Amino acid sequence: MADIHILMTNAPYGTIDAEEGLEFALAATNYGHEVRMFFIGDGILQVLKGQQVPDGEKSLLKRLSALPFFDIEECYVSAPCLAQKGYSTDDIGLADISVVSNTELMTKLRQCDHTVTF
Amino acid sequence: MKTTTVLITSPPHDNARINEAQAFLHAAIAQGVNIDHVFFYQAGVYNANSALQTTAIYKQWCELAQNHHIPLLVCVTAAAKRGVFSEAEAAELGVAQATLLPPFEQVGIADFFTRLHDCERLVQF
Repeated sequence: MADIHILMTNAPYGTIDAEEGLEFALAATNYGHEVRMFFIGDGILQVLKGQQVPDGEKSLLKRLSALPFFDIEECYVSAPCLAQKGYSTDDIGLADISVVSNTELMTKLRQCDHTVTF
Repeated sequence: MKTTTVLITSPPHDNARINEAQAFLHAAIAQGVNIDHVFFYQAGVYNANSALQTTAIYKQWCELAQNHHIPLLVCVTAAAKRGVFSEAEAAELGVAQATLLPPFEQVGIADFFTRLHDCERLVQF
């Protein structure tokens, strides 16, 4: 079993990266690995409330909300990245996500066997 | 033996990344590192597009597979979405032309995660 940290760096819907990152995470946990998710840069947009889901697409936020059912219980979002885009913790639409400083994020991010970036 | 797996998520025309990946693989092999396989996911599946078979990058992938026995495993789901599929899939889809040929092989992502249990290091390009 490996500890896999998944770095989400892209906005949802505009490109396929958020969706494929999530599918990768779900497959990892399905095949016996431990997964933690980290949202930075444009990736913070994935965890915000009030997403306008394009026609024919599934709500990424709803899918992220279901992560605990797939044994993915630890999610982290960068506080500086939120602030830089003018968002606050009130804008976060995901329960049980930890809002962390850069130092905390980098410390936590390194505590794994493998990191994969989407 | 401890192994290294290489994950390719960049397309072939991201020259810097793919040239680096191939250089990394050659250097690793020269130093006796055990490369378990190369897994192509996301836009990385475009590296397997057989329409590119006359390009240097494609030939380099083939050389790694043929001379150094490194499996080139392509995620079937990510590839199908992007029009990269084997003869068998082409037949199923009713499409005339397959775009994935040996030495590239189609696998499910399950294979990647199963092999990852025995892998010491994962490097992404």
